[in-house]
Amino acid sequence: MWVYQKKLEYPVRVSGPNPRLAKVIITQYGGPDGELSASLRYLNQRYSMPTDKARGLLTDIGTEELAHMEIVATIFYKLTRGVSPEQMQAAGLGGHYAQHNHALFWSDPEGVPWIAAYVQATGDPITDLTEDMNAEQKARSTYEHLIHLSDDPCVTDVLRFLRQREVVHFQRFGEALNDLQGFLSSKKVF
Amino acid sequence: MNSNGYQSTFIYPYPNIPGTPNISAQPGVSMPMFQFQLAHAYVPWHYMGQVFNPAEALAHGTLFPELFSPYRG
Ligand SMILES: [Fe+2]
Repeated sequence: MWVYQKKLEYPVRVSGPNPRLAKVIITQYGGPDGELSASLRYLNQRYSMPTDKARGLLTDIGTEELAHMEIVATIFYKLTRGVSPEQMQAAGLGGHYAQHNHALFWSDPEGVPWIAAYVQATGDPITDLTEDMNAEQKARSTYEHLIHLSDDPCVTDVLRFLRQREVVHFQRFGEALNDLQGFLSSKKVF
Repeated sequence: MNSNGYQSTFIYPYPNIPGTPNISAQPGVSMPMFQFQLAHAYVPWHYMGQVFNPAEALAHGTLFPELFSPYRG
């Protein structure tokens, strides 16, 4: 089960409406390397992990990715709040508006809807953890692309936070991989 | 030895992992050994050390100064 805290992991402020920026940031909501893919991948893979520690790590990081999905949703919502249909259209969000008005939806910036084929679960913990490390790097790269595209310093600040979390997750998945591949010493200082 | 009779496993002391601090210099910390094998991926172990205070940790996106790796692109 989960316990919900009615606050974001990191506060989201925006300088003002910016549907053009919202259009690209949606990729971290429902794109291939976005936060929905991340959270569902980890929360699903944990069942076939061989140790409590690996299961716990996937639960923790999967949970945090859900919190990141909420942050990305908040960014999109704030950047499109009060934006007229004409402005949505001019920013390339005409298709989004036609189908979803100002609601959120899991798609990439081109409108391609999220699909489960973005994630995998092989039942092989080494394979799955290697995929997870790869996923963290893809998310990091995507956040860097979004930082380049952002013309709102408030949004860029949030993107930098989310990017740094991917760096930390990569380290933790790597340590889990070390563990499962046979770490010889029991003297770890955690 | 692997099934072909060749030595396939290399055991290095932890500090030989490139880019990691030499923790054997720290008193009271024994040197863990790490078994490296070809065609496997590893990351250096992260050891608990100095931490940011909670406000700094939130601003940096990590509790750990050594994991803070900001994008300069
Ligand atoms: Fe992540």
